[in-house]
Amino acid sequence: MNMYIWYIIIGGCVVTMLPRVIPVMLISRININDRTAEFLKYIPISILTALVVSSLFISNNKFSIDISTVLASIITAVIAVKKNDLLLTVIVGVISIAVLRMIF
Amino acid sequence: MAEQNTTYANKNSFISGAIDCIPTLFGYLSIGFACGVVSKSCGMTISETVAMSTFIYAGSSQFAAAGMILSSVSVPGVILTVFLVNLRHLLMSASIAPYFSKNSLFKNFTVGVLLTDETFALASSKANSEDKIDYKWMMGINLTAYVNWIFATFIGACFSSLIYDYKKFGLDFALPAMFIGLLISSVKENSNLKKSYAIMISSAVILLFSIKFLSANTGIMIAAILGVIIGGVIKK
Repeated sequence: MNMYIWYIIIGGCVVTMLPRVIPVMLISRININDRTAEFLKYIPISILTALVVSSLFISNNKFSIDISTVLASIITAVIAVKKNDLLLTVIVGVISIAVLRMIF
Repeated sequence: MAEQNTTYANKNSFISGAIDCIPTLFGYLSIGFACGVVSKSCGMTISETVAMSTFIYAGSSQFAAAGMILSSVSVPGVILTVFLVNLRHLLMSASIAPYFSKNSLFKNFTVGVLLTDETFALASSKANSEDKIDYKWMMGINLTAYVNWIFATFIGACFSSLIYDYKKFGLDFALPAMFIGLLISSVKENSNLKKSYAIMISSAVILLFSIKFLSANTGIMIAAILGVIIGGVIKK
């Protein structure tokens, strides 16, 4: 048994658990003002935008852009706007990038 | 009789949560598979890979940890990185907290402990359209995503020796495509469209600016916080 890896797993378990559980356990207990509520309400949009940008255009901590990714993202976004179907959106995205990579 | 009906409704909402989670499974199957392959090739065993998925349960943290294990970084160094990479869950947990105010501390512990990017996004879009989140529904999406992740990394670790160019089939795009879909549905469900656009632009610009100085994962945190504040100020 490799204790090096198990120490990482145990420590990693604690440091990933605390940020997940503390806010939902504590903030749900207190009354928050309107401004904070508004802030929390728009957090999803802000985080998801950052996740989209980082997963599409950042690799190895640097900005990188390629034509297939841009076109596939546009197709994916159009499907997401037109149809409210997450599974369809993902499938269309995957197929379109596969096809675009063959072309470019 | 009335009690029976309640139980039935609760069971149903657990199952409907599990069903609502299905669209995200595909994206995480492929990224989990990749995570299993990478963990194994960084020198971890199959059981260590599965244990990491079970106890850490965080994709980007696990990729980072595997890479650092390969280069024998010190235990505190790896743990600190895992902490920073996953710190964005602090904001997600805070964001959904108001919808669980009626639950016991223990129930909210179980809600938070399995929170991920996608279950958070599903929960907040549910909250926007219905103004509350059913606990059983939340457990339905959380547990489905959890089992799927452990399974995916297990399969990846098992088949890591097969050389498998998963990029060729576009599977690496499943995760960004899912984030795009989740983002658009959360924008659609928000009443103030202009404010949403202002927040999106601020968040994107801040992220791209911050990676000049910070790691991408820290940048995501900064962009998420400043994006809401700046975007909110621009468009009241």
